[in-house]
Amino acid sequence: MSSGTNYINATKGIKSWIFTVDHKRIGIMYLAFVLLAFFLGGMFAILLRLELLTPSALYLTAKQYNQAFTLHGAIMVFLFIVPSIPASLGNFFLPIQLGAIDVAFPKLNLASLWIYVIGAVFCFYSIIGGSVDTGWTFYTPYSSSTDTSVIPMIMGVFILGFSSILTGINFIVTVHKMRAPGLSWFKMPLFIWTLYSTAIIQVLATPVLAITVLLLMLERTIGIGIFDPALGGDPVLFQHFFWFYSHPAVYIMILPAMGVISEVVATFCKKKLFGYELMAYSSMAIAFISFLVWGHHLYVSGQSPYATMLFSLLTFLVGIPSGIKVFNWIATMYTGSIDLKSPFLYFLSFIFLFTIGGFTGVVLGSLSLDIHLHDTYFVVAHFHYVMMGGTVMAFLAGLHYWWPKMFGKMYSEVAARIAFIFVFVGFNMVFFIQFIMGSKGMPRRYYNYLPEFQPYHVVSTIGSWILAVGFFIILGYFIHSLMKGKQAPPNPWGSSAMEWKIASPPTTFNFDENLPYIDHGPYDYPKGNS
Amino acid sequence: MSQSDNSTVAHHFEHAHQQFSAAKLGMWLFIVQEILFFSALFVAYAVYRGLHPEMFIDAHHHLSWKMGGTNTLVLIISSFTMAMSIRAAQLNQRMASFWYLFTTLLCACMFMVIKFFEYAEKIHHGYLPSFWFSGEGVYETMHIFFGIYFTMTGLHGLHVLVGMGLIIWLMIETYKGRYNSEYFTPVEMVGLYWHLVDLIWIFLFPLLYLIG
Amino acid sequence: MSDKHEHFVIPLKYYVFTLIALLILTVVTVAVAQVDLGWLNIYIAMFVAMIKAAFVIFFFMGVRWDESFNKIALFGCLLFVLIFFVIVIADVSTRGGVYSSESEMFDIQSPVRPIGEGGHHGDSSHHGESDSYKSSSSSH
Repeated sequence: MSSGTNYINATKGIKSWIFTVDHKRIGIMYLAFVLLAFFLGGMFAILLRLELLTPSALYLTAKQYNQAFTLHGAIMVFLFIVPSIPASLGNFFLPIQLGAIDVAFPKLNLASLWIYVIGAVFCFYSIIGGSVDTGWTFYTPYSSSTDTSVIPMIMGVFILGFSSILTGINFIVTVHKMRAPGLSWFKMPLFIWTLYSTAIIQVLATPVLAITVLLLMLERTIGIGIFDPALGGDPVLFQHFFWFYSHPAVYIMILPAMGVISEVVATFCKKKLFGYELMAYSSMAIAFISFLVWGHHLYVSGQSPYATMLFSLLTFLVGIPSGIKVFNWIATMYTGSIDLKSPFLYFLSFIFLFTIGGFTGVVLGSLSLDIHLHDTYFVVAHFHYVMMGGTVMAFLAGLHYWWPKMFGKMYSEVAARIAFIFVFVGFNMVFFIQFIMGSKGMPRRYYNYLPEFQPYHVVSTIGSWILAVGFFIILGYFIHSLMKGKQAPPNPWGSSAMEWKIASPPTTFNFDENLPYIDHGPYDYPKGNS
Repeated sequence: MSQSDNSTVAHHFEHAHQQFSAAKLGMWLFIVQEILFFSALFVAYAVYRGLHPEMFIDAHHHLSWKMGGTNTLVLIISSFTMAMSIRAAQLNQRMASFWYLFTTLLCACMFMVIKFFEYAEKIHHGYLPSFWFSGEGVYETMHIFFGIYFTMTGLHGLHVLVGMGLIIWLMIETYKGRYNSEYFTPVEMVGLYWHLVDLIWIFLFPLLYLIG
Repeated sequence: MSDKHEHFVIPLKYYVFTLIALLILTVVTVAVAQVDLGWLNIYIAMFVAMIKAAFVIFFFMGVRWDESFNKIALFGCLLFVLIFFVIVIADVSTRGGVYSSESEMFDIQSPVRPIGEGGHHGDSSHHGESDSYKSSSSSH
């Protein structure tokens, strides 16, 4: 069962991958593309940090610096972090965890992969053809007047949005219609719950991004005059439109990460997840509240003061379901048989970093403090703690957790722990210091800065090198694992989850004979079941 | 949604009903995202109408409510014939389904022809978005109305064109006898899409052509 | 999930009745628009449009007989559209309100003035058209 044919060697040749409708192969291809995007975005980050080593110009011009941070942001957000977990790990494991052969619309799934690639091509074209320097948010009026190639970039974003919507539709329908016999809603693993909430946001919010960038395109080409103040338009309206998508998008990024974390903590504590139902509800609550808080990006943009008060209040509401989740993860560890393997190390760092990111979010959500901290490195540090300390750590946790299942090979645990130390230390060196310099008034996106900020920047830049070393170690032992790794058993972690009951790597149709009948909860361990 | 084999169930579905209901939910979700897509335009409309109420009233006199009204009637009739075509497919009436689709296509063409004449007139008088705006008006911000007008009707027209392509495809498949009472998913899905196009126009018409 | 394999065929009378209703309502909305009722016009027009939309949704699209989650998806999304509308309009319509309350209620002399009062904003080399617009708007 464990050796023999599986989804990787079932059919051969490049065409069998390009035209595959197997959700697992599509997931693997997505994984390759998002990791490539992560590498590219990371390279821009390294370049930026190097430039910021000295207060004055080092090796980039001011315009190149603007282009570099725009590309870092745009690549990381649209090409890496939005599709990262749902499209790669989600595509691979959602049908398996549901006990299904495939997603509801396999061809649509393939289409969304190649639409993603087409969108990526547009984004890369804008790098070559006079790169964008607007920042990843494309705020008007600068984005409607700059002479850099905004249109290819937002065209890319438009297309990527399409890919995201199609994935979202696919996942919602799959969860509704493809569950195995006996698998009721509250027997679904939390990873599915979070992917489901994510998909809802993708379907509801992404079209607004699409129309926003389309309007921006029209603003640049025919001057419809609704965003450009020179034509009588309102640039704050652009920010409303943009953040109506982009704030929920933050939860597109973090919710699947929370799902991965829930899976990891249950498996490595060998314990039923504490407060399972509340975790499911809180995922849905986060998805809903995410639509009510976008205005906290507009506190100092000239938004109505009454709207800012409303948004500040609503912003604090997000803390409730997020807090529920953090407490439940920690409570799950209590009396668990904790196995301190590398996925669990990433889980621990997720809890630590996400909590810091979340709390500083509350700080930024309060009106008067935000006036001081707005557009400083404090904000940069905050969202990197959530996005990188949260999502990327969870992505790494999921990658280490599911790697044996996806490729049927084990990786070196020792190397993984060493890499973890580099990543964790490097990350905190890069970004913790930015909280301090931000609160002292260092503005974000500045090319030059006052000399008194230099010590902070030096620490941050050195941290970025340590972080990069960590990622290269990960890359190294993953490649080594693919080449010479030990054969993985079907269930190396002793997990009770559905995906570990089938072969590693799975066969093309996931389940050998009939669809499984699922009659128990997702975390069926002796401990913690009451 | 993407199943092309007649009356066969794709490998990953258990039975035809699961396949049909999955496709239908998928289509509804697609319609949901279309609604959100257009909603931003309606928000922009509401904001600018709120800011410049007199300008909107003045600007809409340059649109012909007779043409808009005719288009409304044409689209409503096309929606009816689309629904009838699905019904005919459900009842195994192949040629009836085909001719209803044909009528729908004819109405869609008529809509686009009327739209073409409307656009030609606006372009002729220079009532265009700001970069090309050369029309006469009391208000300086009038180009905003026409920016919104052209964006909204243009995107709607694009949806009509896509729908026409889909209907032509349906007509070919219907003629070949692909659809019957057991399998008519594509007709039903395109039908939902076509009704959405009608729905959006139902709101566009009073908002653009009938400002009090 | 219901498990009926027979597809439900919607009775013909619903389609015909919907068509007639839609045609009548179109005539009604055009007719009402010819009479100037002030602010009432827009509300009547939107009300009629919503009735028309309901007819299309329930009968032409068959939502009346559809699965419950499809209904939830459709009407649920309208809630999000409503959120979008209400909050953006709430912001736009109350902007600048704080300046009047500062000066009238609390007698605060705000150093911040809303853009537009001074007549100068942005760089002048924005678009080709921007200069002509600005000069005409300041004269207006």
